[in-house]
Amino acid sequence: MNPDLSVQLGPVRLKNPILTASGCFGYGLELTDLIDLNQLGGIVSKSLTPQRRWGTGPHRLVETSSGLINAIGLENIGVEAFLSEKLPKLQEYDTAIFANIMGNTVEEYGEVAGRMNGVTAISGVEINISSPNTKRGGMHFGVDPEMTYQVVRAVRDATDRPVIAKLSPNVTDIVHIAKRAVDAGADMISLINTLWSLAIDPNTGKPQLGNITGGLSGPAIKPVALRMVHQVARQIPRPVIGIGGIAEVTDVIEFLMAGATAVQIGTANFYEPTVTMRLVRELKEECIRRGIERVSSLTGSVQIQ
Amino acid sequence: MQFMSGRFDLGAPVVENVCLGGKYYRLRALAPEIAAGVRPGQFCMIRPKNSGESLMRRPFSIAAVRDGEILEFAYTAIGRGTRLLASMKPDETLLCLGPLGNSFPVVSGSKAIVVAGGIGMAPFPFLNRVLTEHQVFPLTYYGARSADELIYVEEFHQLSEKVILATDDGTAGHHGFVTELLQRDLEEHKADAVVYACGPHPMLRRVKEIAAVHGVPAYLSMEEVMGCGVGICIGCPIPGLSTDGQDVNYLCCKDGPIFPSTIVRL
Repeated sequence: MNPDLSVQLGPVRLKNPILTASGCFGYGLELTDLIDLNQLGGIVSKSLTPQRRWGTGPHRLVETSSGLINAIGLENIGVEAFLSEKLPKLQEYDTAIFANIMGNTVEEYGEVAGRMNGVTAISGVEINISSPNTKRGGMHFGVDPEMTYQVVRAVRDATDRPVIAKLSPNVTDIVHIAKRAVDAGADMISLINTLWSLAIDPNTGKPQLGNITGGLSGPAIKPVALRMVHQVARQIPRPVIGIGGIAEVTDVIEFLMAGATAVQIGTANFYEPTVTMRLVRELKEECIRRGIERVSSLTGSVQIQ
Repeated sequence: MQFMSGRFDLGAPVVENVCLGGKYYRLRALAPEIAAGVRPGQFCMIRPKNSGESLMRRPFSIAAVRDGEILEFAYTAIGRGTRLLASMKPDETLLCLGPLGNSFPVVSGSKAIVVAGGIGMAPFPFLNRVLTEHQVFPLTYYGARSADELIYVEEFHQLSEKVILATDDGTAGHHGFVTELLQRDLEEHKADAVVYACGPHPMLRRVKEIAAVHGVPAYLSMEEVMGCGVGICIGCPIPGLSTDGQDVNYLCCKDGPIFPSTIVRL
């Protein structure tokens, strides 16, 4: 038996449903001595902004129970450097390349997305809508349905590439926000981004992160992510990419059952740099063990009375 | 500075894990592939294979390579991750990714001056050994809070022209900071001197200042919380200056951990 691991993610065909998550795999080229990128369904770049950004000062990370809080501050090399220095090398691999983009205004999102217009080496543009809107007092785009609509619309209008809206979990009604992203033209939804968090050093009485608050990721957030994927997938007529604490093949299967078409692996890359290759291999083994011919048949197969 | 070549991610059997007194530990693990290519100043990202809810690996300098195939780490058990490490028994599996980062430059014919503070001594048994193999016999300045927190002293004596100790409480060597001794002595030794330092932030700041006053090159082993050790999380910024004087963030794991003192902000 040779199970078919390929999945159809809207207009994009992937050889398997295992992708790397933005911010958790650099620009894709850092581990090519340890990982065969050709084995992955795809990779998603770190969030790219119009210009290079240097991010926040130390400390940027703190470990929690089964998790990690980060506040990197959007440090990245900028969209031009990605397209000119990283993309040509990434193209040499047989894997789908997604560019995650970010801005501080609707116009900046459109500007970065415009740089991807016609760039066929990029399989899709993933929008990180969890950034502060500097024109609205730093309120995060992704917590407001109408700001979400505006950002996705600006990206949709600026590029011919498939558009993925990556949703923030720090909202009261994730389904409503997902619907507005689809209304604005999103081809797919990915979720979830990190959970807004705080860590305090009990000895010094100070926050542990330079930025004070940060985003929680890792296995600690998996049940939250799974619930949100399930809620969104059953009500949105678009493919969903599940993200949140995936580290084992059983996690992958749970997300597919909840309604995801593909998944992204984030924090696990940090403590197990070859985790993505292992999950591709184990997913195939698991399909054989369960007699599943096409992995895509798992999507949405959760049985609810 | 030299940069990394072959990296390996191994399950390394623990050979020995012993307490050296107080919070100080020494762990040896069998990792021939990593041991074969490692250079002084480089580090590994390590974690017990079975670590429960503590998932992240932590960066540790390589303190020594024994028998060409055993990596040795010196560490203090002070947090959740390091206490777990301290509980490891022989034959248990240590996840070990390395060698990572750049290394201390070894300059033949130089006068090496090693400045170690506290557990910042960790990279120096290895560096001193490589220096002596190059016929460079360092002056080793080593400070700690108290005499019982000075470890590897015998090995340092074997691998140095001279070892000069300092303790905060005066229980061994100079009563005070190791940087006071560096300030006292550097003028005398500054011809062809190269300073290598690792230790607490205030110590590194003083080493940078003293080296600048005497016009001596200094290489600092920097520390920052790391998520991955390989540049994919961008989590370990070292604020510094670019070659054209601009404010930048270096990444401790990728651009370091060894930095010329002139390009880091302390």
